[in-house]
Amino acid sequence: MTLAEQSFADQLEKGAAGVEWRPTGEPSFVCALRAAGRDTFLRTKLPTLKHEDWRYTSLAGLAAQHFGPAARALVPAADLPPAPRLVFVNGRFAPGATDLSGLPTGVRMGSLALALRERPAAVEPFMGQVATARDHAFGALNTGLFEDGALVELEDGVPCAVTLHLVFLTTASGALFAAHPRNLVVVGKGARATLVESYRGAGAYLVNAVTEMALGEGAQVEHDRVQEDGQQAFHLGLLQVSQGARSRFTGQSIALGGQLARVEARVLLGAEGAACDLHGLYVGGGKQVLDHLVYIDHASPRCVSREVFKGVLDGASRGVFAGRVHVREGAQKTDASQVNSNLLLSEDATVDTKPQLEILNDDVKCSHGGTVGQIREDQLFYLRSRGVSEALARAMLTWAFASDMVQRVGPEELRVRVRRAVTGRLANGELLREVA
Amino acid sequence: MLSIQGLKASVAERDILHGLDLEVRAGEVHAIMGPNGSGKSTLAGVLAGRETYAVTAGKVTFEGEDLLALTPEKRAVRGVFLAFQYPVEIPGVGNMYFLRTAFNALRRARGEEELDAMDFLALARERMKLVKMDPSFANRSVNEGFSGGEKKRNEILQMAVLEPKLAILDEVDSGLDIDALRVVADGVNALRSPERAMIVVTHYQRLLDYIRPDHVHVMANGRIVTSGGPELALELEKRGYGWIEKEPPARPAAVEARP
Amino acid sequence: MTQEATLRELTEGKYKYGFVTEVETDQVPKGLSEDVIRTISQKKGEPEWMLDWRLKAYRHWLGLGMAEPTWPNVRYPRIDYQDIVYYSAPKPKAKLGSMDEVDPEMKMAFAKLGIPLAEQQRLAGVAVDAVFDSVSVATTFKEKLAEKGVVFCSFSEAVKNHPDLVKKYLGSVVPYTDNFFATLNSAVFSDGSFAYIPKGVRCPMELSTYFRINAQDTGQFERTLIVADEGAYVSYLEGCTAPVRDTNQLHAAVVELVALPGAQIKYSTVQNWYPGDADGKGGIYNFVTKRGKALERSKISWTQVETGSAITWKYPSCILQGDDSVGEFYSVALTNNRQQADTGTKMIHVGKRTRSTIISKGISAGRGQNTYRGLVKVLKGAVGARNYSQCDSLLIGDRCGAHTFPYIEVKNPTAQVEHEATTSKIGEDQLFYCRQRGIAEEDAVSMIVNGFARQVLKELPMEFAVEAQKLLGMSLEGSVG
Repeated sequence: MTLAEQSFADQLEKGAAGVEWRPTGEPSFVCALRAAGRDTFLRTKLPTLKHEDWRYTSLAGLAAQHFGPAARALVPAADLPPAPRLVFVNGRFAPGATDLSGLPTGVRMGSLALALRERPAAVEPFMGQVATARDHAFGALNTGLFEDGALVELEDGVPCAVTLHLVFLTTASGALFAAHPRNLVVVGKGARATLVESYRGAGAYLVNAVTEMALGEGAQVEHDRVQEDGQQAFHLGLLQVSQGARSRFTGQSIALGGQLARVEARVLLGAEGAACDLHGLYVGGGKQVLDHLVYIDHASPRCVSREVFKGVLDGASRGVFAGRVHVREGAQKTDASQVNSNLLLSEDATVDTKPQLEILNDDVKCSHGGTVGQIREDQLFYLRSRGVSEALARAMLTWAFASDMVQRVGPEELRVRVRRAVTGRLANGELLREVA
Repeated sequence: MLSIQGLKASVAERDILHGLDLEVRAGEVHAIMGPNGSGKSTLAGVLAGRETYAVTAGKVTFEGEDLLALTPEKRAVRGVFLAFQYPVEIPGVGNMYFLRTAFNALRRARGEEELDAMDFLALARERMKLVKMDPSFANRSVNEGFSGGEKKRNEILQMAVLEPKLAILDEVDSGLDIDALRVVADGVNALRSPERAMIVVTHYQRLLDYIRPDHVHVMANGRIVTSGGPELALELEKRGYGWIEKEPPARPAAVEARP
Repeated sequence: MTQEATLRELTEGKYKYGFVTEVETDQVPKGLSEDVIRTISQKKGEPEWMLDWRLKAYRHWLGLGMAEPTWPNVRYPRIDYQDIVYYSAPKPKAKLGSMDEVDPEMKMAFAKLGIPLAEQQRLAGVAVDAVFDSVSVATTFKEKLAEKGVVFCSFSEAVKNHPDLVKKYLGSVVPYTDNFFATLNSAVFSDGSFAYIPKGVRCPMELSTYFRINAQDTGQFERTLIVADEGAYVSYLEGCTAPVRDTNQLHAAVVELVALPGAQIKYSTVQNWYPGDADGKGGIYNFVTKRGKALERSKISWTQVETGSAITWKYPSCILQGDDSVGEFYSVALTNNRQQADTGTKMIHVGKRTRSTIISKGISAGRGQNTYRGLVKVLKGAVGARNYSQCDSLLIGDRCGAHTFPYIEVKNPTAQVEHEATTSKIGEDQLFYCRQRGIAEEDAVSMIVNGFARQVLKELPMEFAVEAQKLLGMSLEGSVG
């Protein structure tokens, strides 16, 4: 076993014995889930390059570390998003920084751990039922070790107009630790919501987040996931969405931080007429590894999926994209498209991409595409011939490539923040102040 | 030649034709006009045997034979030709190869000798002049990358080569500018003959300035609501379709004409 | 061919190469051991170095512990490697002096396959090496080729007569350690074709090998090596068939191509091994390793039409070693009934300004499963590398599957790699359009499928293209209506 595996195994065993960090008074279904998570992780351990889903992303750096349980910490100074917001620090609920003012009727949000104690019946039908990826090491680890996270519930038919913010702050301190936030979002029939998950932090640590989201019939959700963890951090995120009939899910994933950041979006189009529209942008520099895995399970007829993921890679960074569209038998009239484009800006930047289709049905319209390229010389020359400096021209063209992904971010104040964060990471991005 | 009685048809369980009657004799040109959604294209599709339409009632006989019992290709070899409103593209299949295959399928069904590639090309070249088609069309894939006008001309070329007994022209004028329209109409007129009947489906009277019909029928809500001579088309041009829909004539002429 | 005949073939023509030829054979007993390998080597009168190479491969294979690759998207029962005959040769009636002395049974067998072995009957411009089970039985036009210095012979002859060339290039592209099946082939390969085109020579005719599996329970393990010296050009065709048998047979071939600077090799395959019956009984397991190495300014072009075999596992690849070298892969793979195909290519860009093109057309019908698997890898030094890939799938019927698994790995920022793929079912509108013009449904399907595959078929030499077109139609028999 690697050092990391050993440290996780120890915590899992202690958790099972009901000592240390383990929240008391958990309902029996959670105990059962935790036990299953522990068993799965102890069996699978950390995936290696031999695992098809991890073929391009080595966990050797992570595996060589010892991760303790997350330390308690004060809320760090941070510009928090407007209310209503839930704030978590190192995986623990931070009531002081949380502000639920303006939360419309029919919408509930709060600590998952609290809800598990006070009204477990609301959680039981969903928790662990959405995140069903088999033998998923990090999902299992999260289930075994999570302390808290957000529970967001929308009653049937609620058109929630305000943006709901979930903020996960992590502050490194002394020994390396891992936080495992666990979120559950339940959206009732015909309800509408905009939900933002923000991950921020500084220093070296591991965040292993799982978000389960269940959309009722006709529900509409826009979900923005913005990852700005510390440059030395490991970030692992699993977003698992289960969609009801005619529901609509729009997801944006912006990945900026971490020495190794992997986000998985797994969407089950489980009932007729569901549609999802996923976008992503990863902007890498230094020695970052930014990895996205997107799995769309077309299990019902007349569902639509769209995917556009873009990567901008500078320095010695690596971009990884693995997309898989799986059209099951009986999922007639499936309409799926998948595109992954990458821009390589430096000698040492690399990209690995595998946009895949798996189709077991004939009445489908599916397409996918992947490109890898660089800034076009003719465009660069055109701008320069009009008097734009080469540095600015490069920054402009890079921004032009990435900006449509940023524009997808719905809430205005978040879009501004993301725009600033993205341009801030581009070489000579400060020159872009006017264009951006 | 063609007799349609009480034809009802639906698409995806939605009724489109609500009992349509029509008699067409050899040598006649019938225009079928009507507003969008009146069922004109459905009628064309049903006659050609498109499987998305379900015939729920009625009879169609073609030269005494039950047309509805035949597969699309059998109808074609009997001499029923549909010029498509939206001719489909078939990538990789050569235009001439396609046409020769169709041509020889028809010849074979009639017990005639098939033409080899050279003889066929000579025939096709000659017919291509009729629709002023550039010989380079022969080398392209069926309708692939053709402009709207080119596609329509290609339909008329196919008609000229296949020499059907009954030609159904489904909105051959849609999307054409005036020059292209004239070329298409000239082609159609050149193919008029005492042995051949035509059903010209159109939304606009304009086409009928070039292709003079013997009879004009107006469709609304899946029926022929009035019939007359070429003058009916002019009246429609003047008064629009609203007139038909608001005050449908009490007894449609076509029904009276029924034996 | 008249339309009527085509139609008859479409409606009645099951697998038409399914006959068995009764010939006396010289077989080694079933099973694999060092002794069997020594026997094969001895029967072929091989020199010591060849036997040593085989034994090294065999020992390496034993070390792999029967671990067949599990990553392909195909399912089949475990193969018992001790239940296979590794060498089966038709007994020559007498020592062959000329083509006239070829066993008449054999001649008849190949004539039935449309491959007359008598040179005067042969279509001008194609030289044929005919391989029957484990051995080459005849090679035509040898003398004519020799005038230009072109060597075209069976692999066994090459080992005897051109040992230096064989020693230099054997295993230079596909080493015996490459993969499970290539290793097995290296140990037991029995025959195959060898071609060498000298510097600056444009091979005056198409070279062709026709592979035929005849005997029961035998595996076919042929090995082909083609070397085009500087500035040379060669077009090589390969065809394959096997009798109808209700047990599965293993075919594990290795093909190595070496294109020296400025050379061009065009390699075309029409693979029509017996696919098994409609219920998936019988058929060939076609597990093949094909790879070419391209040096400066050379070009390797693979074209394949895969309609046969119960299972196909095949990735004709190019290592674009030299600067400005070019790799191409054009493929049509059709699976009907219970056939499974996992096929594609690897384009490894090593040299500067290397270019590659991949056009793959997969057609799935019945319960067929068709997988495209491809790798485009641009190494650090491959400045200015370009790749364009297009993978289209056509589905006929709702019980088949089409899968596209591209892998793109780019380690050089000046590379441009583009991958596009589409999957759709055969268009109802297209079918109706054809039928409205009087073309019967089966013919219309065949026509549309051939149109879909045209981009690839046009890369085939004329004669092969016609055969391939017919094959596509025939292989789809019973898939509509």
